[in-house]
Amino acid sequence: MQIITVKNFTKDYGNEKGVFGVSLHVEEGEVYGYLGPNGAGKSTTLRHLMGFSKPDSGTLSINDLDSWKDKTDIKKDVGYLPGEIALPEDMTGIEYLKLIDKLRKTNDLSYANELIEYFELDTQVKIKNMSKGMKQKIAIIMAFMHDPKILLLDEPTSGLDPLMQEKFINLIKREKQKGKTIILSSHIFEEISKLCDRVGILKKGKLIKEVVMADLRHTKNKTYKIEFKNENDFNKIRDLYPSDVFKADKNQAIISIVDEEINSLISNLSSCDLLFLKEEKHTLEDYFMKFYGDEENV
Amino acid sequence: MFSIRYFSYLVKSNFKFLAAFTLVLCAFLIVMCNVFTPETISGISNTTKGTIASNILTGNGTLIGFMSNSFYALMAIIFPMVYSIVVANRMIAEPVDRGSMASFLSTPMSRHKLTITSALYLILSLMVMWGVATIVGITAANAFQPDALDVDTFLMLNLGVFLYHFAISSISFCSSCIFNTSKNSLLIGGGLPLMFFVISLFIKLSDSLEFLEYFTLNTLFNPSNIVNNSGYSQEFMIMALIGIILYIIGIIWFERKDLPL
Repeated sequence: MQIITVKNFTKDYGNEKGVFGVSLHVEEGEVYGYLGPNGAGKSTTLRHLMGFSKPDSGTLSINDLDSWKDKTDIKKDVGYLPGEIALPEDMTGIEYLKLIDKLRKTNDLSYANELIEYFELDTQVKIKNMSKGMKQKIAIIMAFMHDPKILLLDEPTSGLDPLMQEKFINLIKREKQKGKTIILSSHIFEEISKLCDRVGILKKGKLIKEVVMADLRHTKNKTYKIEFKNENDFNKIRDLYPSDVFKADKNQAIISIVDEEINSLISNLSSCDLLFLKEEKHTLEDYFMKFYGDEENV
Repeated sequence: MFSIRYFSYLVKSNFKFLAAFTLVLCAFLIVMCNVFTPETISGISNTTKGTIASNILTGNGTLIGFMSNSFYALMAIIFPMVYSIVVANRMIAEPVDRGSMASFLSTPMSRHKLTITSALYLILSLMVMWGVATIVGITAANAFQPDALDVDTFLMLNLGVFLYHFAISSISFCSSCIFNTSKNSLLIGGGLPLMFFVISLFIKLSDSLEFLEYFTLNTLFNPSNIVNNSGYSQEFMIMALIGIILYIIGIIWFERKDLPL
């Protein structure tokens, strides 16, 4: 079942800024990674899903409710973490969380308290005296505390130290197990590849590629890096695999093959004197750079 | 339509403004009742005889006449005006500008619930301000100059000045709803009321500038007309109408606009 649907969404801010004709959907229980550099349009999409702005054309919907027309109703089941945290300054953390709880009419702070403990947050501090990381934690707790079925998270780990980032990733894993539907926007490959089922790559406001992470993890194409002790062996292998990458100065070869060819590669290498052989992992980052790298050569 | 929770949040975070401005108004009223007895009034009118200042300062020689020409021409206009400008901006444009509006609008509280609650807070706070000022004024007058104050006229003056500030605050509130930055909200929502005030001062200084009365809202609140009981109900109604219309425009505008959150 599709929980979040974006159809031909366009919002033009001029100067090539904005989002242009993006279509995507997120299934129930799926974690969707929204990947792109700053200014690619990630936050714009999430803001429109929250009904803060009206799309120029196309539709966005959550739970079959239109993000603009039904902007009040959709929020009952949504937790939103903005990309730039701005909180009312003149209250303490706990006062703020209590206020949000009342405005939502949930009247249940039990999960909030659990998360306060989990993130080791001191909520008695006035928000204006809080560090960036503390504010980020408050905003995270605010997004999660009413246990919503849908989470829209815009660069959730910015401002958190590595330890807290790890904790946050574990929190998302837990929420995923509960069956939450999540959009996670980020430019950090590591957290996206750890958490997401599917990733949409956004470039200059256009969705240029969607990747199923499982395919990326279990690809049949593999790449090996080999360094030879001497030039003779290096040249011999270069003749056998002419289309691959060879670095003569280091006697290194980078050979990409499908799994069926592994035996012949090993037997070819068996007569060579090697320094090392290692697999080069296909990471999301390589994949991403393939799309972004192209642009620079043009 | 209205959120009691959000209202109590607004009360808490804006109470200090209301308290400070109300205190200043009350202090002026008390000083006025205390110091400006009929003897001092005639003293001033003697020293300034024949000048414009005489006309501006003293009026018809009664306490209420004196108040209408000084307090209700200056302090009662400018101080609550600054209050309305500051608080109206704090209600909508400032949290939108800073981004903290996102936390309220990501709850299932609708935009119009938020704006209506904010508008009511601003209007009610002005009512409280003038309610307190009225009570303090009457009490102070009774304490310092028993029977010197014409209470009916005093009440009418305060109703008038409240309606004036209702209209002024509607300009600031509407501007706060329309603009996404504090800067622009203050430029219009603060600039227009202040311009009205400055124009009204010019008009007092020279008869040749009287045509300017069509360019300022202050024309609608004329304390001497109220003191002389010479037809002011129409003006009161127009001020109320301006206020209602601009508040509604602000609320509808905010409902429909793109928010940069």
